[in-house]
Amino acid sequence: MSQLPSIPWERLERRQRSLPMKRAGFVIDLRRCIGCHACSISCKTENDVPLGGFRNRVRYLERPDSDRISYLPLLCMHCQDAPCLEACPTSAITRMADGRVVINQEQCCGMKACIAACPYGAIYLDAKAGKADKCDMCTHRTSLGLDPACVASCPTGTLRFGDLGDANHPVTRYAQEHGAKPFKEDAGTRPSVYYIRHEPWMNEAAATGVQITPEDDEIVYEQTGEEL
Amino acid sequence: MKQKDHLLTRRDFLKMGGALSVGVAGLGLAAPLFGNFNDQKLRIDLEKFIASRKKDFIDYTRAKAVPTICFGCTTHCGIVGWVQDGKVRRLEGNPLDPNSLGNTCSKVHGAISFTYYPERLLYPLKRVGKRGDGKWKRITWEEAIEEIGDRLKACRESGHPERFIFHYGRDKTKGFTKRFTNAFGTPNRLNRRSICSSNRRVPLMSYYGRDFEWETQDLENTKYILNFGSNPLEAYQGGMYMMHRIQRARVDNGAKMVSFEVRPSATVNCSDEYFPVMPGSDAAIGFAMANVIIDEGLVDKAFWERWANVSLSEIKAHIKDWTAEHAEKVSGVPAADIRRIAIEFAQAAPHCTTMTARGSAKHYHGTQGDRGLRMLDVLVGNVGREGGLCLSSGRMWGGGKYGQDGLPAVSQPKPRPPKPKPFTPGTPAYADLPEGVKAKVARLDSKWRNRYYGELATPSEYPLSWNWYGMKVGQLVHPYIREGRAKVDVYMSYTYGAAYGYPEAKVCREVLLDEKLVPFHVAIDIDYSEQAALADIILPEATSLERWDAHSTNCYGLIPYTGIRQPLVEPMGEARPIQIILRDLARHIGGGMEKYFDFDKVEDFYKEWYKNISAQFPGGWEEFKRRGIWQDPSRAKDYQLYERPVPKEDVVGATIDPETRVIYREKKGKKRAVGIVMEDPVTGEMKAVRGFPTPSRKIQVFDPVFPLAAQSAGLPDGDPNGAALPTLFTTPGFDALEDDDLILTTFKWNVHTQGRSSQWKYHAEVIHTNQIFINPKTAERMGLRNGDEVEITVKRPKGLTYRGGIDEVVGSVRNTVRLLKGVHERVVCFAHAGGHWEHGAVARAENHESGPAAKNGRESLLDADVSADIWWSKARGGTGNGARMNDVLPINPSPLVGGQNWFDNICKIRKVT
Amino acid sequence: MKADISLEKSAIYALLGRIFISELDRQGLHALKDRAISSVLEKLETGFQEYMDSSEWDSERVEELAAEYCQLFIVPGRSALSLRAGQWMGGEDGHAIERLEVIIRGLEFDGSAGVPGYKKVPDDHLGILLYFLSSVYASSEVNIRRLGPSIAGVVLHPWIFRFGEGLLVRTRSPLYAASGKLLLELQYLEREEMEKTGPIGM
Repeated sequence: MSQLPSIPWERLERRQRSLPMKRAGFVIDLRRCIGCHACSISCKTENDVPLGGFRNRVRYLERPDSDRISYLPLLCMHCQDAPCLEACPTSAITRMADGRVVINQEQCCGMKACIAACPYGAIYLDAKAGKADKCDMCTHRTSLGLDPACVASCPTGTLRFGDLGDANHPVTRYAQEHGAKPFKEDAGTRPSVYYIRHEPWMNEAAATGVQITPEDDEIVYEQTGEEL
Repeated sequence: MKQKDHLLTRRDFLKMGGALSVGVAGLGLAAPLFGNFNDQKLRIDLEKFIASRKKDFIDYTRAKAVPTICFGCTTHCGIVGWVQDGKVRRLEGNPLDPNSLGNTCSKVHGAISFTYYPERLLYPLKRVGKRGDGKWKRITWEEAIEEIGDRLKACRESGHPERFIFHYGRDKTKGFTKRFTNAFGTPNRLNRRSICSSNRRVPLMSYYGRDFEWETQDLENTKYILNFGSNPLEAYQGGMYMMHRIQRARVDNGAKMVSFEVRPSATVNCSDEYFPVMPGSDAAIGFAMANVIIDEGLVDKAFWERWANVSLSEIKAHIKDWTAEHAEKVSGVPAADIRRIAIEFAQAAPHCTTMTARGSAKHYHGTQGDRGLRMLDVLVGNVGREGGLCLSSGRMWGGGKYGQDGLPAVSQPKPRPPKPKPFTPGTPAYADLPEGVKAKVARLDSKWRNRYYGELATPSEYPLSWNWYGMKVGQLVHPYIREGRAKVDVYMSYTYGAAYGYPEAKVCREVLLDEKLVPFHVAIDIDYSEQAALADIILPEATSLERWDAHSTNCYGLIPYTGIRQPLVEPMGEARPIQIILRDLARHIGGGMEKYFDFDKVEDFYKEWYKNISAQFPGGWEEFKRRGIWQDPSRAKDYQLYERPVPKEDVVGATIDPETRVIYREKKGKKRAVGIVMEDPVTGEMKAVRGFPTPSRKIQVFDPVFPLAAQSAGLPDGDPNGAALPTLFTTPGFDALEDDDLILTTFKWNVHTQGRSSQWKYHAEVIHTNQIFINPKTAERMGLRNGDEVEITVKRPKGLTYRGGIDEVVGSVRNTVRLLKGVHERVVCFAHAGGHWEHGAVARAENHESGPAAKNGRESLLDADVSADIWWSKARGGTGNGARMNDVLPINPSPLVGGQNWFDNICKIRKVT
Repeated sequence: MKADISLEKSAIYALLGRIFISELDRQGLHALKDRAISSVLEKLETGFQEYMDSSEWDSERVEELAAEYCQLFIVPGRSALSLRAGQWMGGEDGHAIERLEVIIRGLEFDGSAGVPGYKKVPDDHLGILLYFLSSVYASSEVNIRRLGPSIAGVVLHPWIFRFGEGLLVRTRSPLYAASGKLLLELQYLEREEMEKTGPIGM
């Protein structure tokens, strides 16, 4: 009998980082995505996101060039020039040392200026609390060296998390090797989320916003083009 | 009732409170229920509790992780649950599971939903009023066990134990419930295998001797995947195990995947090429490819001649007319593409494999069709090879099974009950059979006649549904009971959703509601399902986070393994695990049953069951529990099990048939084939190798069991269902479709499973309706736009099936349409999961308190906006929860095998104006 | 008049806890005929006394009431009203319930109270919450007793008014109608006290 493998969860290894990440970010490899919603649903259970609010979503886009559907996970882009941060009148939105953008709910006044400012529709209003909320890269996990819940839950290696400010980080190198690009780059916000095999037509297809709203109900497939 | 209307004064409170505080007999109010209410610490805790508004994230440094097995679908990946303050807060993959390698899909998170959701059924209930009225009262477990136990005891002692029916939908106890039914003496442990996969298992069992839980494609190492209607990237048995390997093979190793399908499934969307096909035409394509491979000289002749039990020339002669041109006519796929892909596939051999299962098999002709598709792997010789279609030794039970040499035996603790006796003439069970049934039984070949157990467990008209093992024909159980082919005393449903999800589910409901046909119905479930609503007594079961189960399945890493499901938390409310329920029933029934359930703690039973696995760990059982999984990774992969030598101890004293060279051993008076003598391909030496676990120890491309079954079932002479060689034919009626006929097919979403996930709130949020998907060109011809309401009418199918050929409508149902490019022009398809009328508010897409408005004109305090979490409810302007589709799908078992032909539904749709 | 009616509140919470934590048995139903109790409930629901006194609480009548309880509170049918706070409260309120469950799990249960069914219900069950509040008001610590209205504010007020209203509309039993109204009345009292003193602890 060979040596028994160590039990991964019994020793929560705090990944020793002498410094915090320079620029925490995600790389999303669309070649691998199967649209399974493991990321979006695990985010909901991990962060107790209310029904009707989404920190991330998986869009199903009808391809313009074939009969098939492409999958596009969308989340907060943690922009380096975050319009939400600028728009917030109470300075409830701040940037942490590793570059991630977070909302401090205790300071939120529910004005929704951030929601209007975001070109990615990444922010939702928690109707009961009357406060804005969005992805915070699962701070309660990353502080222990764990990946954000969505990344940990992805079964195909589509979602990856790392220090995009470190050229030698494997995730950064992976992004560079495969020519990863941000989504809707011309919005000019300099996101910290990069997509591999992102195609320009996807920007328009997902233009209705990344959140599901009651108006958006059951439109599981986003259609590229004419009214049908 | 507004505050200013209040009716009580402070005096009233004083008066009432004063009287109560001295205690009132009968109300148990003498002392407060909770103690420790004087501590300073408690005061501080309470003040903090009142003040805090913070989200309570899971604290991974405090929470405890326990490995277990997921129950979100039928794949059963190893997972780890994080428990904090007595509650399961997060589930994720167990990286020690060599099959899933720590991966999970979205459905694992459903466990937190179904364990904690507030409408979960937590108490035994007994009906008040008529069955099906929906009126209940709570009873104690003691009362429940007594009433059910008394009924069962009476049944058992009546001399007709077969009148106890145990019908499960999802039973992953890996044999625990069978222990009960065997100890009871009933063969009627019924299932829903035919609803799922019978048609595709028979070809495997016919060719290879066993279904191996089923075939294990070596996807990590493959370069070419030929997919006939399977969808492992979305919804499939073993899906997760295949999903992550397929994606790595494609993205990292350049593997190519070609899909023949009817809609843009996830697997199609990740395929390199997609061909929409006419439903049921996969077989034609498969036979055409076989012809191409033979004609192009791409057959692995050495493999075929060594292992196939029919010559290449004979098979070629048999299939020669089923050409690529013929396949193009039937399927719509261009002949040139069929040729090209067949050649590509063969040229990639042995690193190539087929995937069949759903689209190809769930048709009237699906079994024979899949036999044709299975031939492709044999022709190119990828069977058992790296990158090819492997047959892994699969589940580790019992020990001594094919390919399991050297594995620790994992067997249920002794004593183990004997199996029930067959219904042979002279037995009370046989005497009870109607004359018509006796005639059918008499017609059976002796190999079936001598192990006949009644029409429910061993339907005489479907011998191939039980020839290898008891797959049965679940969708005929209720019609057969209605016809009087079997009598029922007690019907026990276990996690069963037939009343909602079976074809023509209304037939199931009608039979269950008939107290003359079903005098007593008990439902064991974790949820108030449509099935449970029709019971006399409901027993709440512990969920998969709260119980023990054994687990093993075929490993896509090709080395066998086993795992354990263990409780993370105590069962909530009064829920109990099935092991306790059946043990207590056995003890109440007595009469010898109790000795097979001699345990107090369920854990002790599983500790004994797994003792040989525990022995593999220095830390024993405790260490196995800590890891949740056992595998010996140094064991050789299950490649080419057929070339493995027969161990010396099996050869000594064996007899070898001089003609077939099959090696037989005597065991307990029975002759058992253990291998075959074959020439070593290199040295020329004659060696004893395992071969395949078939009668000939070879791959049975030619299988006499089919004509034998056709004769036994009374099929007309020459009926292609009984062909000994794989044969192509069509579903009756498909070659004479009217212009406005469409084929209604079904599918499953990746976020849902098997009709039991619509109450998982986050999953229901993503998908809650079951709209009909239709091709835009077809829609245009019919003047349909997105969201239009249509009426779908399904007619009775033709052929040798339930009410086959009768000119009648099975049913009509209304639903909305959604246009989608990738759907085949002749197909309309909808998802299974939707249209529920039980399982609680989320499954019904209603907000919890939405109901009758306030009466007496009082202003309502109900704040609709704040409370309406189910934003997709119809009342809130959403799409609601879909239509009841399964009621209009005909009961349609394939001849001889009984697999439900889910994809043969010919329908017409019309716009509802 | 007494200023501190904690003891009385404790008793009434316990009564309501008993009514909601499980079906009433014959003994419990007879006990509700006690004039001090039933005259107050009669004030809330005309006909209550007649309903309680009209005929013997034989097993058939007891079972009918048990079926009503089941239909209202147990089986998730269309007219169901869950007794579990978790069904009604999400978001922050939901977290509050979870935190309270942790506190409750750390306390001792007193089996001598003879309340059937209390051990078998989930921790966010209304019956448990009511008994919990009963214990708060029975504490000898005045600083714990005065937290009562705030605790009710956190764990009950976000949903109890909707629950109560739904109950009044759906029940056919004067017993549950009266109990629902008593529960609401008690919560109005709690709200008034909170408005007077301000929420404690915030």
